[in-house]
Amino acid sequence: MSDVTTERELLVLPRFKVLGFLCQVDESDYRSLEKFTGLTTPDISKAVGFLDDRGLVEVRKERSGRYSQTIVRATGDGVKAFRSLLDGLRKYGLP
Amino acid sequence: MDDTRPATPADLPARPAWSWTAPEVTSIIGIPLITYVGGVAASGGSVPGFILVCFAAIGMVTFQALRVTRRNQPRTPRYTNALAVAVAVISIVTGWNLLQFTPSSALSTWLGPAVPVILFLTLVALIRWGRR
Repeated sequence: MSDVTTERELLVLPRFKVLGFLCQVDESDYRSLEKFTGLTTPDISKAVGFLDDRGLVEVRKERSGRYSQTIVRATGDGVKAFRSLLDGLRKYGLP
Repeated sequence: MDDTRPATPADLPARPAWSWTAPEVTSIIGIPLITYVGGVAASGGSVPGFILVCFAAIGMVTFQALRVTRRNQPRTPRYTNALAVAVAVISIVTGWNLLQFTPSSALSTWLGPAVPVILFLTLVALIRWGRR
């Protein structure tokens, strides 16, 4: 997969929002991702699945009482890729 | 929401507000206090005082580790991980030196134990305001 393709794929709104948020925090869960990004659970699920497949985020399950919780965190590659994407966008003067 | 348009930096979600938990506030107040009291006691030749400094040093590393694993909080600067270990080690070494070599003047008796305290407070400031 070329860098150009990766950047274009990361510009898809839900992926951009999810990775963008994860780059600002150490880790997060789905409920908080919903709250901070304004996305729905299916959107977040699809975005996280895509980012996980490309090694940009790490996903793990944690038990919280009777329920399991999905915890997501950006990998080093994910943070690097997102910062480079953001720098590129700002270079073109996008707000 | 229009999912078809490409994202712009304006779509970046806002960073969550920084917050301290009650145990963190307790640590920020308690660790320097214990370090200082232990250091002053160690400079008077007290082994329990030195042990107190060692406990505080463990607390410093724990404080950093707990902060890193907090969810939905702004990232802590990466270098503070190594810095926390360094501050803990310096605290133990300072405590040991105060125990082994009794300070010659009253001034150094009171100022020596302040070194790890200042370092820890600097670490806290870097965790909060350091460049990420």
